[in-house]
Amino acid sequence: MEAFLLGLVVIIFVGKIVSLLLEDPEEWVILLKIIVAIWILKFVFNFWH
Amino acid sequence: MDWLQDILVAPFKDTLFTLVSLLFYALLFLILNFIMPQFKEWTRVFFFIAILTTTLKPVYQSFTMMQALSENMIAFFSALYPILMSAMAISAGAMSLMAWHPMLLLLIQFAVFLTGRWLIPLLTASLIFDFLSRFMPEISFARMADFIRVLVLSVVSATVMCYSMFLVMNSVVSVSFTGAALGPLKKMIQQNIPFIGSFITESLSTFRKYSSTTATVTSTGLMIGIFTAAIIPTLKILMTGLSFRFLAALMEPFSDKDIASFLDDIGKTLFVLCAVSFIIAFAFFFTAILAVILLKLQIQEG
Repeated sequence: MEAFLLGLVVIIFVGKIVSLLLEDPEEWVILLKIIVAIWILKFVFNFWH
Repeated sequence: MDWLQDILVAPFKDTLFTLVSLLFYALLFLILNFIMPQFKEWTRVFFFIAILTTTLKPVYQSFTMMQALSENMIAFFSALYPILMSAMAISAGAMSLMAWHPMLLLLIQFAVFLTGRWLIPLLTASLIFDFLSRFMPEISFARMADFIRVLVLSVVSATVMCYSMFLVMNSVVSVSFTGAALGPLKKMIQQNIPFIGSFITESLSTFRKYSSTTATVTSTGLMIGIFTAAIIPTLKILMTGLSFRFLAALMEPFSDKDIASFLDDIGKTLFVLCAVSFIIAFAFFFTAILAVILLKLQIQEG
């Protein structure tokens, strides 16, 4: 769980910085949501097995 | 009295120091926002990081204290329970008097293990989810954080209910008390400590009932001593949680809404941690009292 949370913090943190750097971050936020969803799915899959 | 002051006043002293630092940061970032309004989002992010570095220490201390306490308790129980079990087996008189079920000892050990292994890490996760939700509101984990807090609180309530059930089942708590004198105090705690107020009063009520029954065998002074020792970590975390909610209330007019909400969420999580610490307090209290009763009965028989 530690690795999952640490990964999530890194993804959100980097994502936030990138969204601040971009002119129009809306598309980037959607991409970020997809990345977060994949990260959560990976965690659930690992937890299940 | 120094130790009491350390528990009750120190969190608020720390909070005042944190408040001064945060107000200074708020002033600095407000000036920056005024001078460079186009960098408002950036200053918000830096303010968040500043808050995190300033306020994280007492939260981290509370969590590590609980983790260390649960690990120490597991080691303590592992060493003590075989001796207690042997003493119970030998002392038939004590067994019949207390009607103490060995399953209760198993439950205590399991509850403390559950606390260290699952409940505290889950609360840490809820704290991180809160931070992420406030840091980037577009991707919110607020419901997940709330769900974890409610889940942990439910597990704690169920465990405390199991303790009470075992005690009542085994006739350890057989006397019923009206508790009329404690009514107003209970109401005050329920209304003034949000989220876990009623849980605290119910747990204390179980403590009181149990204490009243066992005080006939042990002395009242000893009971108070053990009760105080058991309740100190809980009290310390409760005070830290309250100080965070106080900090959130004070910061609200000067800072971003998300920042005040984040401080409030930290307070809520610490309240749930306080409820978790009740499990350890219960475990320690019951074990210590059982050991004392067994010892006293052995001396009387001898």
